[in-house]
Amino acid sequence: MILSLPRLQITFIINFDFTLVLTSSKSKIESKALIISPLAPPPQNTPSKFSLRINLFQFLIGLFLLSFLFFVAQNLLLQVQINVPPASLGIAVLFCGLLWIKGVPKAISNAANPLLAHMSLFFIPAIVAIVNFIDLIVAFPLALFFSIVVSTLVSLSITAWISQRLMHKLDITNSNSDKPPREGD
Amino acid sequence: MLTLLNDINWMATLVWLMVTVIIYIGALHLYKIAKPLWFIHPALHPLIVSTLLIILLQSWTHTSVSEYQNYTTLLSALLGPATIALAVPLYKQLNILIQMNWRVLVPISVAGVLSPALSWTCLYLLDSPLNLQMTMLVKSITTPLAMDAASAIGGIPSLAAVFVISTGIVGAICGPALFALIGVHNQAAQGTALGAVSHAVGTARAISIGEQCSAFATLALCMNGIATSLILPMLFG
Repeated sequence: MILSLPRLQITFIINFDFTLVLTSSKSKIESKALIISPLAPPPQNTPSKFSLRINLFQFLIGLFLLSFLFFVAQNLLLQVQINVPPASLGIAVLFCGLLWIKGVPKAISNAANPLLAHMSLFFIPAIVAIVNFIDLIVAFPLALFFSIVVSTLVSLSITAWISQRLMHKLDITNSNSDKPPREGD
Repeated sequence: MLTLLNDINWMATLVWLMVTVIIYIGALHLYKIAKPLWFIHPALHPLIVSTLLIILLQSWTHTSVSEYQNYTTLLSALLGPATIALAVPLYKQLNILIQMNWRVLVPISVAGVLSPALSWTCLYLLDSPLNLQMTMLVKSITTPLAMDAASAIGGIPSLAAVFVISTGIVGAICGPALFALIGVHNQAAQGTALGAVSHAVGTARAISIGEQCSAFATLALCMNGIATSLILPMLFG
């Protein structure tokens, strides 16, 4: 255990700059896909210079800014007694700020990318409390099956069908149609 | 302040924080290794594996849930700032939003209304308690926003997280086969559906389908998450 510890920490750091893969698409829509999950494979044609190294100083500044925004939003909402999640207000404020300055400051993106990529880690403490509600889940197996599995499949197909009807005329799939789909994904 | 600091069990805090982080990293690696087993792959989501391991460890060391939550306050405290960071991917997909306009907004709104409405109807028809119904309303938005919204409308945050993750896994496993079945071959449409209905887990799946798919999924994930978490508390809060 002690021997394997340093290796784990190194992989953690590698994970951190692994997540920062920015790719720009060649499609008509000039879009930048921000990969927000470390679980996804890195794009194969992306050269290694595109994976940026985390600047720890900028990360800390960005983290401070984001935390400050959250703190202000939380206290403001407590004052005015509106029942809205503070994080949603924070997202709205930050989004308007990014529109205002027309770009993402390095400090913010250096903090946002690793935080988003490893967000799962931050809600483990909350999910662990599920052991207190096991009785509730076991009591309604059929209702939960229908409302999670069946309703998800139905809404997924209806949404996909509507989007295809609305988007198919725009011919936006061309950029990827010449590539064969990858196996096993 | 000084007595407050003395009250904290530093050793346990440090140990539990490190244990949580190490288990998470291990689960992350397991998830990457299990990539070829595509059918069970989404079910090995790091969150599921690490939560199960930590629950086992807790029962083994006789640590209660509230004690564990006290020790790992540092991790939960980062959840708020991390959620605010969602504004960055939303901003990066702004071009799509401007170009597609209502063509992408309509499907996202349909998904945002349909998915909670359908699952609420199932629960209502099968006579389940009110807190379960309220919790289920947030199942199609990304976990941190869902937990906040659930506690605002009288649901149970940790249960909301479990419902949200299961919804994501169902979408990620069945999504591609379902699209082939109903004849949706447009990547943008697939991405919109995956992001709007099965949020972050679906978006991770969309990334493996293609670049355009992941861009639309990211946009749908952010838009649906923000809209739902703002509207639900106003309706039921």
